[in-house]
Amino acid sequence: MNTGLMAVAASVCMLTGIGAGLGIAIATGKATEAAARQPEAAKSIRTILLIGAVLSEATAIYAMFIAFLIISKM
Amino acid sequence: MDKITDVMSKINPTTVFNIQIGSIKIGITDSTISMWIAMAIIIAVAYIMAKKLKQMPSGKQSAVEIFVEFIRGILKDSMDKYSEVFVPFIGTMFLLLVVANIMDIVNIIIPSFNISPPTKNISVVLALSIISMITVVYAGIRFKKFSGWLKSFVQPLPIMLPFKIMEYFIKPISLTLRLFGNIVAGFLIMILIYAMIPEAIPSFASIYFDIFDGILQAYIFVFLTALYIGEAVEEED
Repeated sequence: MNTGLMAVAASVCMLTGIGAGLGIAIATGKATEAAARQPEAAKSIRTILLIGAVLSEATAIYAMFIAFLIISKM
Repeated sequence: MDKITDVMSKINPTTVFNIQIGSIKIGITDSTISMWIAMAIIIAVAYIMAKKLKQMPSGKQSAVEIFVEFIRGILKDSMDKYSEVFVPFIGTMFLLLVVANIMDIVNIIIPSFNISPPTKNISVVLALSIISMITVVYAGIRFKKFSGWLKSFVQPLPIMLPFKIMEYFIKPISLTLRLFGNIVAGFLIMILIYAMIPEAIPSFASIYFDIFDGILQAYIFVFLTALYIGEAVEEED
């Protein structure tokens, strides 16, 4: 197969990083707003923020897995 | 091109030796040996810390009690009534994942020691996810009786049946890929950093990639398992 085309495919696959970065940034912004509004709830807000960040990053990791599969066939 | 496949081949498990039982040949890979080391560490630490349990706690026992209270806090959020039943399972899973993900930092403390975390092998992670799903199914059947568990498939609306069946397959796959992807990404980046600047930078990068990522991913795995168990045993009031 065409090695150059497979390399380009594996790189395009990782454009989902944009979605993950935006998702985590928006979640962190809202979390700091909520923590500033009510400082005594800061602990549970931190827990919710970490869970939201990990769940949002999982979609970018699914794309990385596909990129691994493409590279291993190169 | 040779460098890329050389790096990628470090993820694949390599067979170290074979055990022959009759006519069945069991291959022992380096992931298995790493899991044995993690088990040995946990059993040794647990034996030393909890040797004599007294009514008034002293130093080592307080550390164990802090850990148990932490696990109970995770479970009380998800399920109120049955949290005592699942504390041992969730606690053991958390300890195993923390030790298994952090085993990479030994490479820095003892130079040129090549140990890799067992969770870089997707079979190991898939086995742990299947254990979690079997526990979820078991919790549903034991606390709701078999007919109640079957009825929960069509609970709010009968049209939810295919979605609920699909969930039982998608949940372990998402747990697997999340843990596997994070640990393998950290592992590969550490290999590249070692190859480029082998002197002082790897220790700083390893604090984020190995320790923080390993503990966070272990916490998320255990928290999501507790959430799924809570969903399976909740009562519709």
